[in-house]
Amino acid sequence: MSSSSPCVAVYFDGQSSRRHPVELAAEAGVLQVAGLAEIRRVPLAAIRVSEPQGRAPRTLRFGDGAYCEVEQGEALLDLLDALGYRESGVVRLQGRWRWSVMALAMVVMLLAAGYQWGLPWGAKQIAPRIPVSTMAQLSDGVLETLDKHMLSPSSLSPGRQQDLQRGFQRLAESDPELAAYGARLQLLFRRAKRVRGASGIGPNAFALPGGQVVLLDELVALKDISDDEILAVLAHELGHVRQRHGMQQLIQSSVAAAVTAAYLGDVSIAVSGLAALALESAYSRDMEREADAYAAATLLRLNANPEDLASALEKLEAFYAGKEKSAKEEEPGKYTGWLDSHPDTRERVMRIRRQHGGK
Amino acid sequence: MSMPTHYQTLGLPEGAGIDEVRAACNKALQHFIQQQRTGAPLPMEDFEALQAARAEIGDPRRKARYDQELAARRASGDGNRTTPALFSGATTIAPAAKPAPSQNADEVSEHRFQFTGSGGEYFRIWITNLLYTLLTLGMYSAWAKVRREQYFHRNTLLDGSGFDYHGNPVAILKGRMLAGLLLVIYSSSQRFFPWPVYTGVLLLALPLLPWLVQRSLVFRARNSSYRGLRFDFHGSYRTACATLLPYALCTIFMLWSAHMVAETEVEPEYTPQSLRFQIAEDMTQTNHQETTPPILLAQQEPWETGADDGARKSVDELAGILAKARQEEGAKESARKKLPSPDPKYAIMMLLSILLLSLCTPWFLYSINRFRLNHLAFAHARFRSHIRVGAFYRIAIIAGLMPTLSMTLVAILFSVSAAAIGAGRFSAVFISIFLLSGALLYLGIFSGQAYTQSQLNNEIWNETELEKYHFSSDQSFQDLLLILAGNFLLTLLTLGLYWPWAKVRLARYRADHLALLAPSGALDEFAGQNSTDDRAIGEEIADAFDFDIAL
Ligand SMILES: [Zn+2]
Repeated sequence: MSSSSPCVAVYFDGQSSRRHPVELAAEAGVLQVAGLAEIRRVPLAAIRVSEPQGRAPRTLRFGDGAYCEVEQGEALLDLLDALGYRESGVVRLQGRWRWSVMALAMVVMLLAAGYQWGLPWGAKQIAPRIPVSTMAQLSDGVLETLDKHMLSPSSLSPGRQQDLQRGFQRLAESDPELAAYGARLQLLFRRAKRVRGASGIGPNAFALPGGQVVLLDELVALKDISDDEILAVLAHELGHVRQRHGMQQLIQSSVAAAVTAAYLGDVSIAVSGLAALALESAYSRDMEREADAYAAATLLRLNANPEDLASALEKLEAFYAGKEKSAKEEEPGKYTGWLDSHPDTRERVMRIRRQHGGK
Repeated sequence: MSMPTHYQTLGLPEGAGIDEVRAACNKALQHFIQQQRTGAPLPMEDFEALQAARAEIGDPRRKARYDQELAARRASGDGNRTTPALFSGATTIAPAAKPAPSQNADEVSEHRFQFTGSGGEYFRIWITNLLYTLLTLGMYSAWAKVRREQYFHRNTLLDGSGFDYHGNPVAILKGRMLAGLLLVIYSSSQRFFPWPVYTGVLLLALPLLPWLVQRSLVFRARNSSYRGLRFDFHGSYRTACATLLPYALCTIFMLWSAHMVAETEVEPEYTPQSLRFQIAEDMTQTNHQETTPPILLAQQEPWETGADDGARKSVDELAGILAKARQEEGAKESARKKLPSPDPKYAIMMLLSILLLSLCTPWFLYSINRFRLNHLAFAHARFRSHIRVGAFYRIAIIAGLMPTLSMTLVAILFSVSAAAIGAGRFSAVFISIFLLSGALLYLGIFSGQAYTQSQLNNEIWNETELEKYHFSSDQSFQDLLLILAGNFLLTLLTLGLYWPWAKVRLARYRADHLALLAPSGALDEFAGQNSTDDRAIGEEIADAFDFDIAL
């Protein structure tokens, strides 16, 4: 039918590597291969046409392993047209730069949205499904490492420890949900290891996913801090345990690390490691809010005052603000602590006061 | 006398435009077909000459090079035949082609591989793949893989014909799902179980490793074809075991002792951390895993064939363990020097195992490449490799010296500058020294990589033959160094967007520097039954554990 310009091709029979020069033509939706011993006729339905891929020759494959290799060009396009062949949607999109730029923008947006919302949401769904025993194992390992490298035994007097321990028990027992953590739900006293004059970790308390809450002497020794305020901080940490924030965080950073490794791992492990580190999240603002709210509720339940949490936060902030000033003059970046992993203190203090100010 | 130029073959004036060339090719081919149909076929040599001309001057890049060569030849007085007028009629296939083959039918000519892809094209495929994969939560990645493979296979030409890839996306998807599941189980066992349990899991999984490697070599070979004939891989599970297991055991031993050392504490700046950086960098070559047809496979970094899962995995492992330990200990505490001394027993064991491992690695690379090549087949024709273990050691030693040298330089630089700067006022100088040493370190690493890759490729292909035909590979260290370093920098600066261009650039270099030496027409004489393979599971698991989820 269409005999504009003949389409020449090389035919392979699938049994040998021999090339057979042939001429292709379309007739009523049937491909005619001329140049072999006899003319071969193949209906379009029985042909697999390869996608255009750069300047590579395209292939028309027939069911029996035979195929034709054809240079790209007008002649081939005319032939395919005459056969009634349509390129797939993906191919048509792939061919256009405008689409590629759009695709790029969409990829960036999807990744950003995934990191911002999808990941926390997913982690929130998964975290509660992880058995307590698994988290316990995980935490034991972490605690062991911490004890080995960063923490030393507390030097608080046994009496003081007992007081705080009693307060902690009251907090823990006030929430029956926490019973699932069993014996691991405990308050541990530690002191930050001092290294060569550097002050190490400052006043701090933190929770492990398995239920252990670690209280550092430095926090207890903070100027003017009362036991009630310390307990308020512990209640906040119990909030992290209860809401499984540690687990969520772990899931989030694992996924982020896996994705960066998939994307950048090919370039360099070092680079992808850095990227993963940059994406590693501290507790998010939402988690802090949840833990604050939990702490406030717990304190109210025990007839204590949520204001204690607010004032504890302020004292911590004051401490770090002072340290920062003096540290900047000596060696910058020496101090890391509670507030680093707990951003936006001001806003949190105000929120607590706003909600529970009347008490 | 001398062979006609390709322009003469086509009856074109020298330097004719690309469109003219293509039109002439088509016209000549048509004429050829016409003759065949009328029962008076032209000799096959004409067809060969025509195909050769099309391959050489039908491609803009090669044409440019060829034109230059012609000009040079003429300038040197070598070719006084400057009369294109001889062949004015394009209706006949260049008659000059006829006398040429009369010389010697067996005369060997060089068939260069050719890569016709471009970065822009591959970028568009890549970004579409990435988007669809994200939108389908990973399901599309199997189709993405097929598209990518096809792009690289089909754009790799040898003697005018392209390679092809036949992987079945559904099979690949199934394999990927299973692999993903295993990966999750594996990495969570690494995270959540204590070390002994995890080591147990590793040991239990050990027999699986050769199987994965063997399966993935079979899958890749059987799903690649050239001129309608598939490749095949005949290596058995047993041979794979013999090749891989000793090395894997060695690696596990090293991991174990490294772990024991990390447990009992050594100077942290010194131990595994710096070691990890070094090995990790050495091992993380850019990952070109599956983007070259199997015949070009050895062009990849040999420890990347997936076959060395053990080696690479172990590095990942080591990196993982140490990173974990570091994170836990080091995130908050930056300076810690005074420590209880490590258990010397484990430290010695670790040193020994590292020594053992570095002694074994070249041998391992040698045997894995022998395994890979000596069981590879194209149709009925087998590949034979005569690589020499000595060459592997030589390459490893020289390549190992490069990063060592750069590190020594950096160390000297630092101590000298520390002494020079001494007291205060150092910011600008310090920063420039810091940058300089960073550059030096990377230069050392890339030099090592480029040297290993280029020299191993040359060794492997120059010592390998397909039936009676030899290959020739002439990659150069300097070229590859420029490409690797350039790719790395540009990829970094563009936040990864340059990646498709980088891949294409490397693929092109690799193809350009590999050739098959065979009499013209020899490539027409392969024959055989095709075996196919739809079981992607082995390959996908191997890939997943290689962390090759790149799109
Ligand atoms: Zn918190």
